Amino acid sequence: MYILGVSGHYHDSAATLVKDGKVVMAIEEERLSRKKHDPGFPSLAIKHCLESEGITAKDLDYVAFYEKPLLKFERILYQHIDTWPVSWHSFCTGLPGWLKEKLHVKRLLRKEIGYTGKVFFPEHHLSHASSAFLVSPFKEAAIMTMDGVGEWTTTTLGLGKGNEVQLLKEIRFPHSLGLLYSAMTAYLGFKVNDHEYKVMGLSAYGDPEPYYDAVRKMIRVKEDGSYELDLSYFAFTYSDRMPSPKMIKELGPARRKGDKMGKRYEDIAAALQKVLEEVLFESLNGLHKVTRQENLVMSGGVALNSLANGKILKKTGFEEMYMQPACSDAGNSMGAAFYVYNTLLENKRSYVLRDPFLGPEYSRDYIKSFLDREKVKYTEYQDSKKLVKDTAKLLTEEKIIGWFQDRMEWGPRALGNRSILASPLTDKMKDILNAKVKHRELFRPFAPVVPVEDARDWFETDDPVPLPADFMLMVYPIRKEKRKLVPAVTHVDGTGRLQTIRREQNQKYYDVIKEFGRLTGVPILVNTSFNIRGEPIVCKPEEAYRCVMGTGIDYLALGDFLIARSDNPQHMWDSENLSDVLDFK
Amino acid sequence: MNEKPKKSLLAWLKDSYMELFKPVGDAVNFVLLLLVYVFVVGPVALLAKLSGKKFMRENHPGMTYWVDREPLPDNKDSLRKYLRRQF
Repeated sequence: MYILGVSGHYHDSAATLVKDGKVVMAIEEERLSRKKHDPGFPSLAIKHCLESEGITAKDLDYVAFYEKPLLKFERILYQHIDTWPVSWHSFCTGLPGWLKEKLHVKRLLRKEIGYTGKVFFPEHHLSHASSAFLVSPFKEAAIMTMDGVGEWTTTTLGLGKGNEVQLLKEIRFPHSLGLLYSAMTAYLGFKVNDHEYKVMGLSAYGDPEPYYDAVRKMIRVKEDGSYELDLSYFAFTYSDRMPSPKMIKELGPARRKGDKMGKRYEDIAAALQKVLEEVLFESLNGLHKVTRQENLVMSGGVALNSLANGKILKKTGFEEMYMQPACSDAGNSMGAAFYVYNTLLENKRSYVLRDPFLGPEYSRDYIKSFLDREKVKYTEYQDSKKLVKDTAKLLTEEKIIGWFQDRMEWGPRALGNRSILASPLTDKMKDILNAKVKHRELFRPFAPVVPVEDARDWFETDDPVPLPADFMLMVYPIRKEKRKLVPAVTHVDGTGRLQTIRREQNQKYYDVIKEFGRLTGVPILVNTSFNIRGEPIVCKPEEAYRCVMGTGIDYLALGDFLIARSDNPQHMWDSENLSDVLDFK
Repeated sequence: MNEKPKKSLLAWLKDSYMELFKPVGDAVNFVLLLLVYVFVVGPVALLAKLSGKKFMRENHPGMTYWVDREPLPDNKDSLRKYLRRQF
């Protein structure tokens, strides 16, 4: 039985193909369209799912769309009515998209892939809840979903048992912890629905105290963990601009994009992170009281706040937790499909998402033919053990490696198959990575990857290390005595957003880290996403090669081929001068 | 490798046509939207305001801000019907 899950029309559109209760392909549209956080209908992702399995739309038993479009449209219309006439601009910019495309999911499916069968529409937060619980290792768990907004709902508490997912309580728009964070993200001069993680990274530099009271006033929290926003601080109900004049009066002038980052903004980010954590932990403790469950699953954009995630088991009554790698809207394509398969059709749960490598892969022949066609100089390995050893050795020489192997990751993080790897041993590696490749804000940390059995030697993690750490969703303090050994991945507050890796998940990647550990005594590498600034993570070998040649990455391990950038000067270009883009056909 | 693919004549004609008529289409859309906003949304909003109706829940005092959710149907046929709905 094939079920196709689809999410789209807001941000991070994606498709997931489930065969007999197991994921056979899951991919975000952005990786194929090359538009970051692509909000369109995920036609390319859907087609890729079908082609990878060698099926057509006729072979699909059901399609599940991740939310109820008419219910969402109702909320948007009511928003315009309630805030008329100041909502004119958002009415004018938003409505055409709804009338043209967003209200016609069935028609789009027919047009794009010729699907004329049944389509199910679980609610947005039901898809979130299902995406976390139905692929989790737990038979029973409390469920928390929290994001900007779905149809009307912004936060839910729920319970998962066996095949069933029930949402018990909710908080409705416009009250939203996710939108509080997004409004402040906009205030700090960053892009909403994209750069919230930058605010999280920035918060480590600040002192929360100077602005704590001001930010705390914006949200009221009850003893049971429920909350509401003081709407006078926000403009998102009637405008594309998120902070209101009152917020600006309270906190001072908002930072404009490109303005220098200063102490005031760092303190505001720190206060915001503190408030978010307080409210989240209150809500989770309320959930624990209601459900009396030991296990917690979470989903929604707020669940990507890895700084808060790393504290949940210490600050709440839960003992174990699970989030899947794509816990923002992309993951809802998976949740919707599993809700239909497990809950509606009453099939037993037989799948746990432990392995994030669910995307496309490219064969040795495909890669070789591309390299030969483009006359790229390379070294071909017959034995991946030798490639692993050579890569680890290059890393000890402070070379930067583009690591492109096997199936692409599911979710926003590069987890070892579309990653840039580097040595964490010297502080200057941060500057080298920034100067040569990433060109990003200096306050942003680089993430470490560590074999799971070594994690507790280096990090103050929970014991046992929670599974979401495999998906880079947890931040933990690095042990004080070890911080000076891995300066490139130690953030200013002594933490690291680690990825733990198990050999059974990804043998080659694990072996490179272990070999680096054998050579240096430190089984940790820098793992950062394999992309050019402003672009999505690379998906195809051609994009990986283009990225390497346009940046300062020294080597590319492309499957079993090792390519030195310096051996191929004919293809070099400058990614910071995007007018000079190469076309690989 | 550095050369960009050349456009076919048909594609060029289509693009030129779109480029020419896009501003006209945008202007028509704008006028239609303005009319709907003023003469449809406006009166509904005024009526709602006069009757004190609020569609979005605004700030209010209370013991809790949680709202109980209506349970989804136990019966799978009813659940199926619910899931088929787009609202």
